[in-house]
Amino acid sequence: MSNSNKKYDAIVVGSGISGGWAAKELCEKGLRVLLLERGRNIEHGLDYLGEHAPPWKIPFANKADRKSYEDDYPIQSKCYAFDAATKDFFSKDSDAPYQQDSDKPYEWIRANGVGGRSLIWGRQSYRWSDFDFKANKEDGHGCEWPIAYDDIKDWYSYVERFVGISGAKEGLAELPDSEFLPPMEMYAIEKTIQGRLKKYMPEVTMTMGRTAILSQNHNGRAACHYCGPCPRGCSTGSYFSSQVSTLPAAQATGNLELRPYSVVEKLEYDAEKNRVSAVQVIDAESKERLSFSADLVFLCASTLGSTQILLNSKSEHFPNGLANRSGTLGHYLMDHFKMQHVAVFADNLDHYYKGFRPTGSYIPRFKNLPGKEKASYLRGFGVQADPVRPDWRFHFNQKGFGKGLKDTLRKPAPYWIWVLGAFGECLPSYDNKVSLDEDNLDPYGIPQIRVSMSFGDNEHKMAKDIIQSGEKIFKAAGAVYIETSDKMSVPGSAIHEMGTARMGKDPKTSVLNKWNQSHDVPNLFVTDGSCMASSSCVNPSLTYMALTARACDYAVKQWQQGNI
Amino acid sequence: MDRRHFLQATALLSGAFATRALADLSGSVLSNSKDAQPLLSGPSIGDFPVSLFTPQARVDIAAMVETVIPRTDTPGAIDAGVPNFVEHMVQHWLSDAERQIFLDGFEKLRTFSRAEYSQAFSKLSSEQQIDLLTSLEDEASDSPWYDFANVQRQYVEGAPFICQLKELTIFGFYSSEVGATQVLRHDPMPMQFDGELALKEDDSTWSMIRLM
Repeated sequence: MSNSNKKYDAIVVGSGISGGWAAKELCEKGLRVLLLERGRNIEHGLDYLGEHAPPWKIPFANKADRKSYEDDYPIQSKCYAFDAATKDFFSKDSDAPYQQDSDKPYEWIRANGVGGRSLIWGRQSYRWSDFDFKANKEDGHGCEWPIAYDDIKDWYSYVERFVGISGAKEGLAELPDSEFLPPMEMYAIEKTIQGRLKKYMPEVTMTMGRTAILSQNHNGRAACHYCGPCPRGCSTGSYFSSQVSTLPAAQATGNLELRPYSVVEKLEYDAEKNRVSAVQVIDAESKERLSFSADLVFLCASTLGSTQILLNSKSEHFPNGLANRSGTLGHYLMDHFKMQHVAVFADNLDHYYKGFRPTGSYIPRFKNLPGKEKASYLRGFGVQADPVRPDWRFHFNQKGFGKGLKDTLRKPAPYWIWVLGAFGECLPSYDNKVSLDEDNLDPYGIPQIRVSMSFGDNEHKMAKDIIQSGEKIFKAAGAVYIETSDKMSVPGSAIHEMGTARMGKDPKTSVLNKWNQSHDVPNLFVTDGSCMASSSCVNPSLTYMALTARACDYAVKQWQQGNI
Repeated sequence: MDRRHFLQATALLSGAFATRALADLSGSVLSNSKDAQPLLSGPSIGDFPVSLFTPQARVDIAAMVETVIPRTDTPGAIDAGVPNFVEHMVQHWLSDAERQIFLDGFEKLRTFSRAEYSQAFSKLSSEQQIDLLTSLEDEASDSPWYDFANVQRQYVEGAPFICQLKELTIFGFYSSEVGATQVLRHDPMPMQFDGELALKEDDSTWSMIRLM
């Protein structure tokens, strides 16, 4: 084993949304940072191989290459953002295997490479509310959050000003406003629907999607050019990714060293000093084992990735995984459940659109809140809503030949469809968990993880209401045909996996304290989704950013004072 | 255009290009996809080499796809390179079982044409060609391929030949450069979003559609 001399103040594991933020914050505060990324390097612009490819340049006219997907991407290819023009950002399932129980399917979507899932994320950005942070304490599920909305709201502002979030102010306590760039425009059909909802279902608010996409030039990045498929990468840097935002900022300090192809096997623990003493790395190309040391270690390797590293970092003092004196590490895994309903509208048929708006609109949670309907279940759901004017792709399978067919297919369908995508909160449950499977090793000889998760009674009760609420919204909005579905998404597939190294007040029942710092090992911080003690119903990435920036601020102050 | 070379050239000229900044950041570590080609500078879907059909069969395939999407006041399937696309898809994209369905159906149609009209399919009048394809469609009309919900991402594995022919022709045509730019409207860099653009009676769709 080669032993590199210590030349870093901090090591950050993972270069996605959380890791990029940790690297930026730590570098800007003057620390020398080593950023470890298990995947390949992905250079901004240069490696966006699918970007701006017109339809005639996408192999097989972008019809799923079923054989190759089945062989290499059986799970990843189920992701809505996966296609021939984006697949290079996803990890091959064969390269990164994991175990799941046969009766509990779990879809783990991964993008191992510099930037991680920040290149392919959905970009929806919503603040958590005070109701979210208080939910565990109030209904007794999960452990009490050690922070309240007030503790994080300034950090939301801090990250939002850097990221650039477009959206509209609504003044709702259940969905606090961000520091917004101007909202994107609505379609005429959305304005029609919005007007009807205001009149016929006033308990709901319909607002423009809040998204990490620039509606105007911002911090040296260009406004969106509305080309459409964001997950192919964006050379103009118009959506937030590590590549265009946090990593260049970290690089500009001169304090960053980025090391791709660095698979973290485990963290080494020094019992005498009670700290992580080294990060053990396997070079993915040479298979060489390396060891790196620093005063601070930030795990930002994604919810399951970070927990896998901790579970695998066993020692005499931590026989069940590092920082796991509480025994909760690996438990309380959550993911939102998604449900999709579709309705047809006959309004605004003489309106079309120019440009491909890269967000839908949003209907914030409207159940189980002060002054709102009390439901038969706990917590709630929010709805992402998107209009589509169907083209030939939606009705190619019609009868006929010749001029008539050609003419029908070239024109927009004579209706709009409006798709509701509901995201329901998932209660934290001890039984939803990830553990190490010592019998199944990955290509690096590291034990794979075994994921075991299913949705519980509360989620199923909420699902029933999501169907009824969907119908109610469609009717109030003036739909002429409604199709709801009782299908709940497979756990993991909402790609909002959270928990397994939760924050809490009590070291006996949680892994991290209110600063995302390990209760047990003071120089260890975990700031990705694994830290979450509950799941809210809103998209979580913005909260990871704010928590990461906040944790870095605390860690560096403690480090400067000699406390870490 | 080779995008990698273009971007590198630009970086050399400007000196302060964000892309270069990040390339420097990666130090000596080269990108994994260094030799991979951007789709933009790769071949078009109608240009892949094919070797499935005989020259005579190709003449009939061309006549069939042109029957599905003919040249009118705008270009048709042959103009758009669809015959080659269909052959490519049958050869490389369909599964073995699906390919067999296609080849069997194709041969049956050719044989029937010669038996019924004493001529190759390609020699028939366009009315006769449409009649033949329509009778195949009538036979196939209870296939789930015609179900309302059958959209883009699923392929109906047991779809009969006529459905395969239509699906591949339609995807090949409206995705082709000719179809996307001369029959549909192609706007790769809209630079703005207008959600209230007027739609006139004869307007085509955009060549792309954004799905969530």
